[in-house]
Amino acid sequence: MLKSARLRGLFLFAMSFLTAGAPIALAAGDAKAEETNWTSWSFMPENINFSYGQKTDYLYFVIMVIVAIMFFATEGCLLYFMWKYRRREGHKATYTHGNNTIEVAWTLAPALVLIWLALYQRDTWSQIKMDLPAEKDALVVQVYPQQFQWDFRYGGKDGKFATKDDVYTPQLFVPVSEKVVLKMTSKDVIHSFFVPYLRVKQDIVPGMLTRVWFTADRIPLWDLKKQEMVFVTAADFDTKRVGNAKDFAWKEEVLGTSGRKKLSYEAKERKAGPAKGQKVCELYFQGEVQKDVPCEQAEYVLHRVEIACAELCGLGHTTMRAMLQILPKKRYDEVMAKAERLAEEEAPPAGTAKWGKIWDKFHADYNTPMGAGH
Amino acid sequence: MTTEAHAPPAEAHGGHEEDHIHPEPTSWFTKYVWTYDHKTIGKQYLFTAFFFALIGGMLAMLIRWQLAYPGQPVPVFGSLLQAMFFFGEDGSITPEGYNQMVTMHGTIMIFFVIIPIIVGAFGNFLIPLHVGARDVAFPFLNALSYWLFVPAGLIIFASFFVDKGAAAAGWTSYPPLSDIAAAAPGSGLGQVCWLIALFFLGFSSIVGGLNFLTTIITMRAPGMTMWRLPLVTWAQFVTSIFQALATPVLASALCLQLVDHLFNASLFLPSGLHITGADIPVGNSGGGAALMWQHIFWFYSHPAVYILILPGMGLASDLISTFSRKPIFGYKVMVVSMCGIIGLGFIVWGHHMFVSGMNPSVGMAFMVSTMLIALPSGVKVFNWLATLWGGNIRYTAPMLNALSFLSMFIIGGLSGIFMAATPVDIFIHDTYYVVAHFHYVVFGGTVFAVFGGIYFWAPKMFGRMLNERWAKIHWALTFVGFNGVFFPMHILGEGGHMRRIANPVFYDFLQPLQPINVFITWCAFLLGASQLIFLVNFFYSIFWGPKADPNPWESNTLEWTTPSPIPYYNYERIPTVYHGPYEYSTGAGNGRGDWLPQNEPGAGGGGAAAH
Ligand code: HEM
Ligand SMILES: [Cu+2]
Ligand SMILES: [Cu+2]
Repeated sequence: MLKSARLRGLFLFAMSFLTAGAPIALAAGDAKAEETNWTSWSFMPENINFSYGQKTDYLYFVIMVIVAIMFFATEGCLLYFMWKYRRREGHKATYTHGNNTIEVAWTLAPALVLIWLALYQRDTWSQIKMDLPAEKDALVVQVYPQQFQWDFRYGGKDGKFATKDDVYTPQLFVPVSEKVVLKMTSKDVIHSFFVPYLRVKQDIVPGMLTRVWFTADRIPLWDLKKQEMVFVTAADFDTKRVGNAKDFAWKEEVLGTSGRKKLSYEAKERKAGPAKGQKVCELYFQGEVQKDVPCEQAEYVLHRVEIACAELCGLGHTTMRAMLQILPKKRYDEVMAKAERLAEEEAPPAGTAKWGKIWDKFHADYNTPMGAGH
Repeated sequence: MTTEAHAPPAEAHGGHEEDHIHPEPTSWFTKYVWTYDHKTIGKQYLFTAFFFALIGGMLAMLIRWQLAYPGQPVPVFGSLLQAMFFFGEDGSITPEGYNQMVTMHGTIMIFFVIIPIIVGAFGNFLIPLHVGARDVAFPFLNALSYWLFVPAGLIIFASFFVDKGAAAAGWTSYPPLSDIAAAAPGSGLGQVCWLIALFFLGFSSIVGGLNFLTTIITMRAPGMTMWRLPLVTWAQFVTSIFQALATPVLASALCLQLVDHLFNASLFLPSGLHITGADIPVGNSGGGAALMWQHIFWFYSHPAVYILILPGMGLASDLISTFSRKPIFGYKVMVVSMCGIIGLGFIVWGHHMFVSGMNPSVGMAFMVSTMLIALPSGVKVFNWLATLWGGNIRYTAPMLNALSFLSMFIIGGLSGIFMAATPVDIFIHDTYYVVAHFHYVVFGGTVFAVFGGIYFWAPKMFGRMLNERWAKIHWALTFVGFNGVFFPMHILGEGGHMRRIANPVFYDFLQPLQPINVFITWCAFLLGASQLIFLVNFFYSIFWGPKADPNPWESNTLEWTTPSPIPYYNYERIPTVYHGPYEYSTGAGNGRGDWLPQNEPGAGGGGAAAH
């Protein structure tokens, strides 16, 4: 009896040590949380939001370590006991109803870990959800989805909403590494703004303002040689020969029985050009735009990441997708300047009536800039 | 302490039952249809749930086909069922059909399969037997509870055939999507059916829960103190508290949504809401709050997930103790942790709403309570492991299923911790991670416990043994198939794969994950097909299987002291109980073996308390 009690004590001690020791060891790694890619071992898409995406990933990693220890400890015991205490002739089970000391110990050990974990993640949560930057220090975009499309509104030249120079887009354009605040509400049912690469997800509820913020710190490019997406920094962007996406056709070939697509970009034919039949492109290189260059010179094409609707929202839910263009600041400014010019010259595009008719009427208060916090 | 634990208490509960044994009903109708016999009612629940499990399972197969081969015609069934709204001209699944399938799969599996089996079938069959009574406290209410469940089933079944088909807004039915007929094909008559069906079901649950509570409190046999109840009955007790307290809240939510549907009350519709193509002019809706539904719904539905698992925990406790030939380790801790689950279970609902737009400070509070609710589950796991420790484990089919419950529940509990961590949940909410999590607890946990329970108690229910060999084959294939289906879903969720989308290959970032979807689908077909083994074994054996001994598993609880199948009146004499339910390997021997029935005085170690 004594022998078995000691054995139990040992088993218990080992378990509580492992569970309590893990977070302490991991907290030490905390300092490096900003620099490392904590989820490279996982299937998570690459994180490009360095404001807090790293921290989310680090937390995922920390929990994975704790959970892995718990998993191997418990399932290991299970398998070992199943083998060790399998039925044998003449063998007799140990008659015991339990042991209070052990119960207390194995309640306290995980309790400490869980409480530690709860306290530990508070900072990240408040940074994401409660410490939004003041809107005057950030790019503010309004998001107004409906079944089954996304619509975005920018303040335009004056930076104010519900004025004549507002810019309406079906895609989200943001400059790289700049703080972005999205102010969202829904026209009909609940939708959810989900960008896996940014670690952002936020439900969009009719009758309610929900806000998210992020920074997009990498620029997505399509590598024409490798035929895959890559992320580059703003500095790297200038060293690459990047073709304008408009000059390239985006191809999705459906292949095989599983319906998998093969993705690629191919240079488009353009009417004007130096030599007949030659495909020419606009190229970004070293911060300059080069026009009418042969398309073969492009190594990359400006690419975009997907915005998905993550809340079941009806018939067309599956295909409710928009694109997020992350551009170098200079390119972004050009795009916006052009859009602002158009906004001044032309009537707002068809389909934007809902902003004036509904948003500005029912949610005029969403147009006022908000301070820091939530 | 010891003497007290051995002497039957002076005030004998349920003693009044002693004298009168009701005569057995003679007509076919009162015997099998409108019956007051808790055992027959239990079987009614069981068979009805089997029927719905077939429908829910078929829906799951169709869902899996679509996810592996989006848009491709469904072999065989596609052309058979082409007339139904689910399918397009060519027998492929339409997007609206897909939404209806996931909605109805979830609804049916939770409300018409798991709850009826785990509470309706096992609760009814076992509670009176375990407390040592001849029936439940209110046999009429018990019959009523089943006969409220039947119309619910009929309505939900009929809703497949109503105009524009069944509900399609998810089993969670979030308004406004579920609230406005024009918002989704199923949100008209289909949704109304859904609401009414669940309303009936809720009443059935409340009536059943109150009945069980009363039975356990007032009808215990002499000597059967609360601390001598088998854990499966304790689990039913705790579950009944959930049912009695939380289900009325669901009923109110359903009423509110029904009022929206029938009278345009706009309770969940805020001002300014406008559905393109609907004839609700802007401004006609208004004043309501869409988020209110989520709060009310999850206030019920989080406790509901514990309604799904607690009885499973009870079943597993009984099986693990019996087949380890050891008393359960820490009996009282097991009970206290279940009570802890009730307490915390009522204050964690917000963890389903971390990204819903709810105030983030509130989210933080829910995060803390959710972290804490993992604790009682963890403690239970340790106690089950410690029960195995030092045992003399018999690997019967029920035990294999109970051990699968244990190992799968661990995984489901651990994935809960990721989602309780709010920043991580932002990423994995509404992805396949959540789907993996709840299938590990509900299928990996409860369904394995149910299989274990059926293999274990079928001899008592039907008087015949199920075929042990086929039971083991069924277990092995289910175990492999289950993990093949649901483990990779963690990977999908990690990759950001949204749940409830009809076509994963639509998204570039999900492209690389598609082979996993194909793999899962084939595992799902294996898993589905394996269940046929169970059905054949079950239905063959209950008619033609070998006759069962009164106590084939050498188990201690009271029902095993009766003949198999159990007679109408349960106990000829109401038994007197002398000790806890798990007195295995006491060393006393009693000339029998390593077990000591509860109704037999003996040299057991007293009550089941942890000393
Ligand atoms: C160990 C303790 C557990 C923790 C910490 C936990 C935590 C969570 C969290 C945070 C969510 C929400 C995830 C999201 O939507 O983003 C969730 C979902 C869910 N959990 Fe658990 N859970 C635990 C145990 C259980 C158990 C025992 C069951 C049931 C038997 C269960 C069933 C469910 C279900 C059905 C959902 C999904 C509902 C839906 O959105 O459709 N969980 N869990
Ligand atoms: Cu949507
Ligand atoms: Cu929950």
